[in-house]
Amino acid sequence: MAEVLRIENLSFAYDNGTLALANLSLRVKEGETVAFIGPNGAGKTTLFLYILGLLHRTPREVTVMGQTLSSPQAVEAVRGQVGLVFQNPEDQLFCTTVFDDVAFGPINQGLSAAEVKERVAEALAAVGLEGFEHRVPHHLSGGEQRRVALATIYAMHPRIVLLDEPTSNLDPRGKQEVTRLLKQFPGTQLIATHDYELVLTVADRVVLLNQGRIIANGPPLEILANETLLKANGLEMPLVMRYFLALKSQAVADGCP
Amino acid sequence: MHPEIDRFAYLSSPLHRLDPRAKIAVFAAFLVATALVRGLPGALLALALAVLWVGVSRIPLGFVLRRLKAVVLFLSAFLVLLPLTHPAGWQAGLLRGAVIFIKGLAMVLTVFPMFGTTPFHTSMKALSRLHVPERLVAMILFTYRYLFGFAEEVRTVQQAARARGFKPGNNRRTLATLGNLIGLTLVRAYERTERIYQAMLARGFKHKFGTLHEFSFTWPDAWKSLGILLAAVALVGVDRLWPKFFG
Repeated sequence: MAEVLRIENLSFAYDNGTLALANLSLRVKEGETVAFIGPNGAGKTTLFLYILGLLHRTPREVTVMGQTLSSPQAVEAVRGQVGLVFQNPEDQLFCTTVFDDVAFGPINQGLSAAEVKERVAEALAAVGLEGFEHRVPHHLSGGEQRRVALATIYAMHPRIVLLDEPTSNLDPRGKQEVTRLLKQFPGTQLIATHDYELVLTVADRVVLLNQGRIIANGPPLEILANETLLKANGLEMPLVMRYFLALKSQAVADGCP
Repeated sequence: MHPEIDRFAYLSSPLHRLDPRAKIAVFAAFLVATALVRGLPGALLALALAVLWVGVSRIPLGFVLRRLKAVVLFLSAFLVLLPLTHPAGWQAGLLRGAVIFIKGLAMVLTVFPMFGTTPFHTSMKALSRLHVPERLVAMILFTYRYLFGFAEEVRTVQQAARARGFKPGNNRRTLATLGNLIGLTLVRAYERTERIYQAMLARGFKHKFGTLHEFSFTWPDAWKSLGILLAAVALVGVDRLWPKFFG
């Protein structure tokens, strides 16, 4: 599969001197879902903002679909191809109707009125919110807001979607709906999350970040079953893995093959 | 509760159907005419016309009245202070205060049919088409959007303080706490507005406002605009001629 994202030796420090990303290199293939885990302040959100040129006008360490982001024009061009879903949907939804919010991106892409309407209808259908066009985003439930936030990005037909904590602050049902949507998405996804259930359900690969560095990069089961690695980086092994390993060791002790 | 002015922009009324560019232009003319009013009869006529515009717009009265509370409180200061400070005596001060109060109320009421009958983004696009500089339009849009963010931060910080038993009193500790809360609110609101701006940039925002609204100026638009403009002219005329005939 073709490579859609490449990051080479990326280091970034905030104005106050905090080093958020340290010599980070990464490659992502088309259609891959990569989950970024790590303690708070590990650099997950910073990485996403950096990729989209929101922290630096020319993030030249980033190459998206063969295009190195070494000019503001390249960054602008890439914003139609890479969508970012923010952690708090209220940061993302700023229009007075769901329609206007979902249409905002396609209008900025310069699409015709008919195409914009088609994209909005298609994106709302994809997230199961047909008929919500004239609803006020701020009056929706947390789960619905999150789905509208996803629709605002899906409507732009991005090749890569960056999702920052897509299931945080959601009730179990909302979480399930968002997980199902992410599972169905055919494009490339980078997901920053603390939700291991989501990781185990949708991710092809897990990248463990700590203090802006990549500590581990591999299959979800391999990383999430490594208790020593997780503990050393301020994380806990998922409960489901712990039960699984306990049952496995019990079975071995009982003489099961 | 979100204080968005265009909550009823999707209703149907003669003002909702008026071309947004014409709507902004003729209501701006009406606002200027109201500002030029000097006497009480003119101010009362301006208020009557503003009430008429709100009635025609079909924006629910409860929605309008709830948002007028703060304005009435602010304008009441003129009613109280001018009688006490006017050099020509309390009666002249009261009259002046009443004129300012009524004019202010009329102008704020006019803003509802002016901006409350069109989706806010379309109003911004209409401003651009009226050759208002893009930078100014962007500032209006961001101010409007960030007000919500700021209001929410104020609410959150207030709740957090109350949850920990904070009761405002007449003492130094209250002042220090309020100072901290205001500082915190400003910092949090700034960070929030930063995130909102980033979210807009991430969706390809290039400091220009797009809308699907196709602007068209038709004959009904021309008649409605002419009606509002004539009302503005009549308002100034009545204000100037009233003292000559009845003064």
